[in-house]
Amino acid sequence: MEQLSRVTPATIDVLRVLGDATDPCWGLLVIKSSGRPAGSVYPILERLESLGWVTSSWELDDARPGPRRRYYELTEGGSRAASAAVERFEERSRPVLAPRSVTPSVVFA
Amino acid sequence: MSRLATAAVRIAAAFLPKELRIRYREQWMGDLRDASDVGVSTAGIARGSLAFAATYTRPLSSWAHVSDRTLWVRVAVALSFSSAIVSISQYSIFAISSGSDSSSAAGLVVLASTQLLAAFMVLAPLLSLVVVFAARGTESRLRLSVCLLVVATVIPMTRPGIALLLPGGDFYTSPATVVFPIAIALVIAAGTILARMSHPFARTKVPQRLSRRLLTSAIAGLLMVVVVVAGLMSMTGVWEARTPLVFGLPLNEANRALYTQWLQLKFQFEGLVSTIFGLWIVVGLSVACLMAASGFSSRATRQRSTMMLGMVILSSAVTFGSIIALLQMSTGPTVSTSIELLIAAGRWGLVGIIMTAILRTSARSTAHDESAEF
Repeated sequence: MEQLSRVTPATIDVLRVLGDATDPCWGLLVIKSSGRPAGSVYPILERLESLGWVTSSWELDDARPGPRRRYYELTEGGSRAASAAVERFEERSRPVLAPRSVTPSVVFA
Repeated sequence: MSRLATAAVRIAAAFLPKELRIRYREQWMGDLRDASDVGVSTAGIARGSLAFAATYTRPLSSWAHVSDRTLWVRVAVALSFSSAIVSISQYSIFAISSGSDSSSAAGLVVLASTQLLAAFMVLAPLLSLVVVFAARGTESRLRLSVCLLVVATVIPMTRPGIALLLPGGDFYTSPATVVFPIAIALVIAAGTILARMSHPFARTKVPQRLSRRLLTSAIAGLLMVVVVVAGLMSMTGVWEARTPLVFGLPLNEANRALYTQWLQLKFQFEGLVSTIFGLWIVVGLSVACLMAASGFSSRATRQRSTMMLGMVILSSAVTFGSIIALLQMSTGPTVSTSIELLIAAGRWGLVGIIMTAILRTSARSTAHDESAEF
C-alpha cells in the first residue's frame, strides 16, 4: 500500500464515508453521503484504489438487470491509514491558539 | 436516464485506457440508472465522468509497458541516440542549406526548428548522462554506449571552432570535417553494443514473418533513396531551374559565374578532405546496405530494428553529403525552402520515431520481460 501524496478535504470526506460504512459502499452512495460532486469523488476513489487503500467489486445481486453497481470498501491497511489521515487532518484543522476575547464594543463597532 | 447523460458517459469511457474503459462504462451506466434512487442528478454523474476522463493521467511507464526504472534507462538511450543522429545530420544540411529567408513564414519555421533542435542537442545528452549515471545497477556497457552517443552528438558541433583554428580550407574543405565520420563511427559502435544488450530492451524476441521483414527492408531502402534523391534534386535545382518539385531560386548569372570561379580554386587540404569524402561514399553506402540487409533479422525486436534503421538513414545522409562535398558544389543563398522544410520535418520525424520505438514495448511481451528483468 502506498502513501497518499495529496490529502484534500474531499479525500477526507470520502475516507470518512468509507470508514463509517460497515459493509461495502456503493459508489453513488459515497457521492451522496460525502456531499462532494461526482467529478471529485470518482477520481478520489480511483486514486485510493490504485494506491491499495480501497478495493472495489461488482454487486452480486442478480435480480437487478442491466449494468451492475460498483461497491467500495477500505482494505485492512487502508482502514488504519484512513483513520490516521482523518485524525491528522482534524488536528491540522483545529485552531492552535484560543480565540482572543473581544469586547462587545469591538463586535458592535 | 437522459440520452445526453448516457452519451456523455459513453464518450468519457471511450477516452479511458482500455483496461479501465469497460469497467467504468458499466459502473457509470449503473449509477445513471439508479441516480434517482439516492437523489443524485444524472447531469452530475455525466459531468463527473467527463471530468474523470479529462483528468485521468496514465503514467508513462504504463504506456511503455515497463517499470519506471527500465523506462528511465530507455529514455536515456532514446535521447542520446536521437540527439546523436540529429547532430550528425547537420553534415548533409550544411552541404545543401545556408539559411532561409527568415522574413517568410516558411523561413521562420525553419529558423525556429533549427533553434529548437540545437537546444535538444544540448539538453538531451545532458539528461541521458544524468539518468544512466544516477540509476543504480546500470550496466557499464550501457553507460559506455550512452557516453559514445554523447560524444557523437557533441563533436559535430565543434567542427566550426576546429575549422577556425586550423590553417587552410574554408567551411567546406576544412580537415575538421573529419569529425563527422568519427561521430558516425561512434554511433555505429554504440548502436551495435546496445542492439546486443538484453536490457533495457525486450528480452523476448518477436519472430517476424518474411513479408514483414521484406517490408521493413523495403522501407529502409526507400528512405535511403529518398534521402539521396531529395538532396540531389535540391542540388541540381540550384543549377537547373527546371528541376521538378524544387521551389527555390536558381543561381542567377552573376552568382553562377562566382561559384564556377570558386569551384576552380584549389585549397590546401582539398586532397585530404576529398579522400575522406570519397572513402565515406564507399564505406557509408556499404554500411547502409549491410544494415538494411542484415539489421532486420527474423527475431529482431522493435528497438533494435529502430536503431538499425536510424543508422541506415544516417549512413545514407552522410553518403549523400559526401557526394555533394566531393562534387564541391555550394548552394549559397539560393537554397530551396521546400527542401529545407522537408529536412526540418525529417529531422523531427527521426527524433519522434526513435523516441517512440525505443521507449515502447508491445504489451504482449511485457509480462515476460518484466519477470526476467535484472
